[in-house]
Amino acid sequence: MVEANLLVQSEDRGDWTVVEVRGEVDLYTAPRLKERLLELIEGGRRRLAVDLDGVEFLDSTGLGVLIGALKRCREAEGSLALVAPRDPVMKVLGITGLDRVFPIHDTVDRATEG
Amino acid sequence: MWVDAEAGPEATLELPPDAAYIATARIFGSALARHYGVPEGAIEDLKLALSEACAALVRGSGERMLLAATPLDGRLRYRVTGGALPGAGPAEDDTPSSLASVGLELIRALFEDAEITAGDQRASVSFSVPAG
Repeated sequence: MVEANLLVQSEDRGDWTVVEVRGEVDLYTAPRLKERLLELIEGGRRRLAVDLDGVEFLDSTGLGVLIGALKRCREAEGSLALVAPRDPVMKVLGITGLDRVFPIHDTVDRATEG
Repeated sequence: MWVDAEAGPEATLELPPDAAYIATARIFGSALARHYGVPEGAIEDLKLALSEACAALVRGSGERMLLAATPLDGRLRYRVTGGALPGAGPAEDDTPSSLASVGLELIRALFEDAEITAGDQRASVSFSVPAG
């Protein structure tokens, strides 16, 4: 079997949890990201900053995972922010109009302020 | 086999209908694009389109996928064929058919010449990028 090119790790910063994602998010790898985000939310973390600086590729399946996690965070009166998406990822967010749905920040520090 | 006199050699890749091979489709597409001098910005677009096409076909059927790239008239035309595409689902949910629908809409948004055919027996997605 082909090895999945995706790394997801998280670190708590006060009320926020920074989720660092590296690699490619597609139909094959997206379940790993979904599983980790749901674990965090169900574990009581409601404010997630998803650091996309290391994401080389993200398709509609990845967008679906992020939307699902955003919805769950908001239902729990929390938030999910995206950090430093690269140009190709930003383009997909723009085409789909999701750049107006997610809070998007340049740095983790800015995302986790306040 | 009939070959268009103006077309260059066609490159093909056949893949199992398994999500694990979608990254291979992207590598195939981007390597050929660089070989034919496709601009980097267009390469990112075609990687997304190939990924969305393959994801839709993986969701829609259990048949093998065939990727083909053909240089023609200063452009590189990609075609992905497979068994079937899932039907359009309700908007704003994360069902496989809805996600596939979003993916196919992304392809249409990225490529004006995109052609998406969802036949009963054989589905195909094609589009082209400028070659250098």
